[in-house]
Amino acid sequence: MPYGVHDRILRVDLTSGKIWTESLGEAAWRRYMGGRALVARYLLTLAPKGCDPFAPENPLIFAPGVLTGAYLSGQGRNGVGAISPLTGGFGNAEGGGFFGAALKRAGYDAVVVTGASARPVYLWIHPDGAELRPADHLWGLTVGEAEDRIRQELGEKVRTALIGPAGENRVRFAAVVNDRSHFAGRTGLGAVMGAKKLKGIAVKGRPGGVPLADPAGISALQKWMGRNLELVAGLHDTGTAGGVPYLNRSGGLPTRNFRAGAFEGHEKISGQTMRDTILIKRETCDACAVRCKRVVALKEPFEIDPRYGGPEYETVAALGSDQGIDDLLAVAKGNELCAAYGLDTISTGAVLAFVMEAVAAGLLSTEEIGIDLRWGNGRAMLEGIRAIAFREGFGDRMAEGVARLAAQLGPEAQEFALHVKGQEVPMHEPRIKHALGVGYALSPTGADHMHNMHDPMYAKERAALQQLRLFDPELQPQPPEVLGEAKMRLYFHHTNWRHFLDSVGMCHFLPYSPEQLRDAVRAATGWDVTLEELAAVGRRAATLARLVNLRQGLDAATDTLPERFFRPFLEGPEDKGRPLDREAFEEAKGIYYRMMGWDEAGRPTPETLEALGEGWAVPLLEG
Amino acid sequence: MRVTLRFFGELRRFAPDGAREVTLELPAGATVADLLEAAGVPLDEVWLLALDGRQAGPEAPLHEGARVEVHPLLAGG
Repeated sequence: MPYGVHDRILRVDLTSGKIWTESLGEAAWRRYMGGRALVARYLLTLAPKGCDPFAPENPLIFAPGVLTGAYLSGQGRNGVGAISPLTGGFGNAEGGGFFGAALKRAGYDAVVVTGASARPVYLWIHPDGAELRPADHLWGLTVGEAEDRIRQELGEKVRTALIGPAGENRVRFAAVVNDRSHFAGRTGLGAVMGAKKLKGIAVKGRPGGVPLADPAGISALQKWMGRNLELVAGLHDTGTAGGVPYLNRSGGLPTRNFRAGAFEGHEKISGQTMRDTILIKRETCDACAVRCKRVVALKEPFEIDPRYGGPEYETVAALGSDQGIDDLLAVAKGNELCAAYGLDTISTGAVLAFVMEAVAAGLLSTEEIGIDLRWGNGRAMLEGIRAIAFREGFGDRMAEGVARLAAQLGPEAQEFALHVKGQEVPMHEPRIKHALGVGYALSPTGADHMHNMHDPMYAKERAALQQLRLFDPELQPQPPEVLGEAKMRLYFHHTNWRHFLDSVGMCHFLPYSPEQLRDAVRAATGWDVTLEELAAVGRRAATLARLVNLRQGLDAATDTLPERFFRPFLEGPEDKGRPLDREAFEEAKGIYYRMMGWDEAGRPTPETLEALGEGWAVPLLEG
Repeated sequence: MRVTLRFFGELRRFAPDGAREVTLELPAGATVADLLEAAGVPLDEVWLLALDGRQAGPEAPLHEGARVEVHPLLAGG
């Protein structure tokens, strides 16, 4: 009997209604650890080449990791994966909350759903088994309404992963919502659930349901976090949106679709202002002492249900500054609507910002749209969110995402269509973080800020750099606005670790050192893992994800960055940031391919797959 | 005027002897930026900046007894 995992994966075929379990064997768990690596493995073994995201055969995977479910701050996360409706390639996002930990405590390490149901259903998982239940009465409901009904049926203590109307309507950037206020937001996985007529999963675990090799070891780390909350005091105090003033003065606050890097109304939408006005409490994920999650409430001019939580930084920028909106109340209402309808706030905001720029450029008219989508109009933003979720009127076109909408508007729109591989660019500015820009191009999911590197972390001799030297003692600080071999070496080690975190089920914001996390994995699983072995989990995840993309036709030609980031800001501040250099950017990608053991065309070599213990995947290189 | 600067997380490395806070004497009219310069804390390492418990920019003027807090960059971006 292994520790940390049960070696039990729940398989569900929605077409036949059949449910069964399967095992991978402990050695496989040690290679993948869950999350991103496990998602990639299942997409390679179950998805046919060129799989249509909305076809029944698209596998949908819910994957916590070997740490998930242990009583440890930061572990309350799970990955979700499928072929993405947004990119057509590797789709993967992580959400926090309680769902993933409950799934582990119910006795399952992952859920893999294939097929499609004729009628709406939801999956009910508990320690004694799993069953499909009718969901006709839930179809069309918001996430909150659906969760209320499910809890009436199954009890107050069930945890949920649900879609709202946006997922049902196959909005290409629909989110999967954990526990009403946590989101596996990116790559449109909610739309895959909608196509399968799967409204969601309800799960109830049992306390202590995850066997641990060394519970005292986990407990010691949990106590360390409790004693060192000062390390994350700012995050607790203001949430991730506390960074708004810092980014604004750095030239890194996306403003009006990245036309500018600083926003005149930034103080009105900051985490500090949120704290001092509409914040009513702070929430958390499973067993986490940090409590960084916001809960906001409002009666006028909009009513906001506090059970949907409150906006994160990404949302504040995507629904705020990136649309020129300085109305925090509208931003908070928009956050609630996106949660209720099950929309990714990043892509939703980015689509609306794109449309606002198209209006400003005369490529679209507000009459044609039917909504007054102009820079700064918060109420129009709210109307736009509703139109997207229900695909009403012009919302039907916006629900397809920036790339598809831009293709309809002609070549002029390409200049400000900010996406990579079809996924909208998140709220971080490449012109002040050059490796981040390369990371947008290289990410297997399209533009992503989480499994990416934020250059200022390594600009000076700081704790982050000292920790990364555990993997490579030669690493040196690098300025944010350069690329090259030394910078990409930082990027390589940093992102491998991020891919590991997203596999093992650990939050990126926890201040654990690599050694502490190595010890946590040892305590959970009993495996005598090394740091090199853990970094290899991340490299394996990224390499298998790359293979998924290649099989879906997303090759190195899709490792791009929008032209806007190779040019100066169109609006101030003129003294901040520097456009990426095209030649250095192309060279940086090649450096990364080489470090990863991929060939010049960005294809993993057979030798690399063999070295990672994934020789079984070599035939997939040929088709 | 006397102003107190409190260090959080790894910014404590700029504090004398690993102290949690430092109190400095600054001339009248000094700003938060002046305080950080006097204490040797680079502005680009400060993620969160608060004056008397409220958000403040580096240009904010200080006063006798002011309390300034600095928090480090976040790992998650």
